[in-house]
Amino acid sequence: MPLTTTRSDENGELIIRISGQFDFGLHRDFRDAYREATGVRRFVVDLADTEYMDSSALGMLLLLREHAETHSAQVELRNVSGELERILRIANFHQLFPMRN
Amino acid sequence: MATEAGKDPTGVMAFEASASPAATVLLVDDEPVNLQLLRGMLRHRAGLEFLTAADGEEAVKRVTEHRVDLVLMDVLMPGVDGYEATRRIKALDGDSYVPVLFVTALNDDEQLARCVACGGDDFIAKPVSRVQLNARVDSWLRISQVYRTLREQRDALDAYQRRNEVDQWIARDVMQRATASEVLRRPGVVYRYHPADILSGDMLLAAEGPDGRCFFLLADFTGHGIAASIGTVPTADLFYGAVAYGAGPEEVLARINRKLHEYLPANLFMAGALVVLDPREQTVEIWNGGMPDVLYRTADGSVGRVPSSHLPLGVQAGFGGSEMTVLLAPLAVWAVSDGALEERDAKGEEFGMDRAEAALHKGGVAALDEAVAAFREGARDDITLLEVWPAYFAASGDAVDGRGAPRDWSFSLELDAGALREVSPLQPVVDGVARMEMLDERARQALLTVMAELYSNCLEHGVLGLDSGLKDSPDGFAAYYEGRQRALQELRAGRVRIQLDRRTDGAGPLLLIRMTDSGSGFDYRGLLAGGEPNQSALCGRGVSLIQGMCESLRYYGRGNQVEAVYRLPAGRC
Repeated sequence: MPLTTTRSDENGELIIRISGQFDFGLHRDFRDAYREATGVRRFVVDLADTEYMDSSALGMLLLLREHAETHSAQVELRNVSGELERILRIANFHQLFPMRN
Repeated sequence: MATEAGKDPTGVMAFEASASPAATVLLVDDEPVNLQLLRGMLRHRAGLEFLTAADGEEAVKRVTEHRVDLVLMDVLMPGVDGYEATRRIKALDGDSYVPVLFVTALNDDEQLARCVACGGDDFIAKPVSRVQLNARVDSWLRISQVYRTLREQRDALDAYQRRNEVDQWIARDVMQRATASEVLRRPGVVYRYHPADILSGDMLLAAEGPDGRCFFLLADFTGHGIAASIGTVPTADLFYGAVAYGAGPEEVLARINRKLHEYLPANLFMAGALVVLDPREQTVEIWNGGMPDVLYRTADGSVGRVPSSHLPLGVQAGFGGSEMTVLLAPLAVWAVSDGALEERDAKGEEFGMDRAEAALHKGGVAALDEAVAAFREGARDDITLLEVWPAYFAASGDAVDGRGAPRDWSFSLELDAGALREVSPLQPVVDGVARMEMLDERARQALLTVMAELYSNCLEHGVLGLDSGLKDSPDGFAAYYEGRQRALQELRAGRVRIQLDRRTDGAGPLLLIRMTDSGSGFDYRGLLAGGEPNQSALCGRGVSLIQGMCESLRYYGRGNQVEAVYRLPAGRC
């Protein structure tokens, strides 16, 4: 599965883990992963196994951010490294998303 | 011929349930009894229709005339036999697929191979078993149906694709018109624009502001195709409007950011590199929000990069980061879209910024374009490359030493009775002049005062024919303005023409303000020659005010034309 979702109920986290390519192909799965979830305080996008992301992935993160804002939740990017970090830095997304390893 | 009719009712039930869509089966046999037999075995099936043919020739005819989903074909027939008929049916239309099942008592391999060679799909052995016949017919009708559905979907997809392509070409045309710029053709500018598809998410805009600064915006929208191109037109429109209006880099960016945030869904945004060249100062200001590093080289040969330090445009409602990197007299500046850097070679290695930088410093955009083309394996992404040589901009045009160079313009505006009634033209006109001439607030207000006095004289005395002598007493003053209001509302004929010419003389820039009205004029000689006006008088102050603020004031004609020379501050010209 390129995308797996885990709930961590004690701290209200929904962890979306993306392996392989994070691009437009994941659009629907990514959206479905968070849209129906209730009671989430923090959406975590775990990029540990992500090999590649393009600008549509950046767009998907913004959609998630919008969703989180309307549900009073946070968004956090986890395990960002290498090329992904470079892409996120070029877009200055570190201003929008806290990143944690 | 033995039959096993009625032997297996459960099997029959299953066939009935699955053969719901109407289908036409063509039965081909020269023996009427065989035709009847086959038909009898299949008759119970709902939605099945039958055609019959007595020989091969008739069979081909049926297929050409009707939509046939399946053919049950006898092999040996007088005239055109089953092999030949099958060959012809299969050759009829390469696009449709009609399964042909041979009903045959032949069972040696050579004969069966012939059935396959002429295009047959399957066999049903004689004597025919009812269960077998139904099973085969059922399964082949299903295949035929799948094939038909596929074909219909493919045709629909083809039609959609053609329509979509036409739409894309239209969008491309609109986009090209919106983004086209003469500035890109100037000496000192080199660019490449290679869309990967009909439409590109890349965009290159260039425009010159009223103060001579040139703005270049290389932008990259998220995504591809129509979704990516949808933001280009409003962005280009805003960009050209704002630059022509004299807006600075920050305002241009803030306006685009606001509009994109308003228009586009959250996942669509625009990365951009704005390069602002001041030809007089030979400075280049760079703003980078989400684009690859902007590269430059200075005259002494040192090189540098301006990395992205801002969010792309359209991501956030407020425009935060407007700090620009200022380069003093760079030799050349290059901006590229990420498509160029992300090209991969046969080994999957990315072209990357280091190769791009090496190529640019070696031979500019042309060398980079070639290097990327040589490197690339397979299809390319949208690629846009821009190169600007500031020195060419100083050398071109009228500027000799830059400062003080004439940069004149003219502007005229004519208001008819309706416009005079409804429009207050002075504010926007003066604001425009203030923008173009970089007037500070004080200078702008001073100009507004002069213009307002001249305009109200034209309107009130010229067009409306009011007597300013009325204003001599406090009561008359109020009556005068009531009369003005009434006369204006009832105004049906008359015009005022405003002509502004910015000129430069030895003392610097000046503004020649001329206004002409359709009125009968007045005795300006008395007024201008009347010596010191009485400061406590309620009328006549307008003219003396203008005289005080302008270098000269002249009336012409019958007094319906006025010309004032207004000195512009000799700041930045």
